[in-house]
Amino acid sequence: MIMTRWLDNPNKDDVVVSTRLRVARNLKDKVFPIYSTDQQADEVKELIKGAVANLFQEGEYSYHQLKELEPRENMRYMEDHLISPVLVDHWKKSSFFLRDDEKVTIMINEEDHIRLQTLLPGLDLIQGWKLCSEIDDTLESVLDFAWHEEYGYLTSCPTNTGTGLRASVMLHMPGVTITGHISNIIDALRKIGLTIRGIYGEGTEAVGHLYQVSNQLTLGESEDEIIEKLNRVVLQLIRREKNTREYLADKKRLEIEDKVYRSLGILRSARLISSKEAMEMISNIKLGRDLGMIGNQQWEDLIKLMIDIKPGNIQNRLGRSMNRVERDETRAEIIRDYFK
Amino acid sequence: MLCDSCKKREARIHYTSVINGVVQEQHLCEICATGFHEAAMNDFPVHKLFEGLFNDKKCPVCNLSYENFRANGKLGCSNCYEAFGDDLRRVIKGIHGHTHHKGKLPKRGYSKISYKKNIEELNRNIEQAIKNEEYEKAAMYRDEIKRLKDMMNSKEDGNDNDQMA
Repeated sequence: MIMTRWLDNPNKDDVVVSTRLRVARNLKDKVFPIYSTDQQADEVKELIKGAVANLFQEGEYSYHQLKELEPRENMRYMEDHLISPVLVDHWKKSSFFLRDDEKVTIMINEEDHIRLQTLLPGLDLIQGWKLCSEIDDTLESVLDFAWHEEYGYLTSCPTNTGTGLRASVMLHMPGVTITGHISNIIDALRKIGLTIRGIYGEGTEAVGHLYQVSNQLTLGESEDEIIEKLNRVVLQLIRREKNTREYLADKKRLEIEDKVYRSLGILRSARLISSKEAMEMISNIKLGRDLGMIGNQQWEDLIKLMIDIKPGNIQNRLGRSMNRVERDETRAEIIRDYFK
Repeated sequence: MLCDSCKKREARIHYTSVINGVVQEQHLCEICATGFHEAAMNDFPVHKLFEGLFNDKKCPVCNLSYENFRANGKLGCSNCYEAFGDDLRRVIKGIHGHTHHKGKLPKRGYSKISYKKNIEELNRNIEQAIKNEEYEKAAMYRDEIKRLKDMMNSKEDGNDNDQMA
């Protein structure tokens, strides 16, 4: 079975899932991927590939062209957060280098020529940025990046210009979602230049009580300032979520237990289940487990389970394309087996 | 950024209107924005009406027009940033509230003057931070200066060109 390797983490936290840092970089004078012809895109791809391939040790990275992969394989890389949805949209033009431990991806011909991302389990912004910046330096030693004395690193969308950095932390926050505090949090974050969204980035819905908190702005603040601010806010959010959970366990115990056990009932009995419903139910069980209501000593990898039951992962595991009903059936089987 | 209309409150609503093919941007506070629609129709300044007609800049490298950029929000290549000049600067300022990059600099292709300019600015930041008793911030700026100075020195040694492709 394919597992999400980057998620392996000995110091697990109930609220923080992962830390992701990505920088956008472009080559000087080359047309950005959104407007480039297939031929121009191929030139950029070969240029970057040629330069990058020599920088790393044999076997350290694998190289993949999206047009050579099955759609379900592209989907599973996306569901595992190893590549972005935009890279998949650009499948005719795009490719990526993936480091063996899955913690580093160098995406080529996304919205920008290069999107470099580092992905670490838990809250680890400082290490994540260090790793990202080092690889960025290595890439820069062989590539001529587009740069402006005033604006900094130049990107296809002016919302990324400057540092080109998007630092984000994925959080599991069922507590503040159930109490409705999340809407105040969203407003408060917006006011200080941070943003919160669903787990697959821009425009995606928050499923399974999973949220991504990230910096909104890339110009005017240095990388260290961006990271420091995000780190401070995330620590507060963790505290807030944990306090809320304690409150729920104390004052609303019966309601929460009911929710948790009903969810378990559905997951143990369903013959067909959509990934959205499954994620909501698994999230409820994770809340119950984190509060010590259920599943002590077992079900430690519920976040992994949420990824494993996504459409691309399911089809990839069985090695064939499936229609919706087949997927929902297989998903229900996997889940029943997990919770038996 | 201050509201274009009252010039007092912070602009929170960014409004793009297209009237007879003329694109106009307004940055307004919540209060002024409430009455904006009617005002835009009644008091639309005639001199602005023709401004848009002559603002059909094109990037000489990738051939993208400013209109095209306005339509989908994405630039065509790195040269667009120069080609679209002050119009784009206003857009960037509207998004970020700043136009001056702070933070990481590429190790090569970056002039010594720029390093010096950044170091000067960081020194000013340190003074300000100390005045506000924000010592953590001051330490961060100090580290950044050190990093820039190291980079400047390695440039002088000529190390930066060793790995040219």
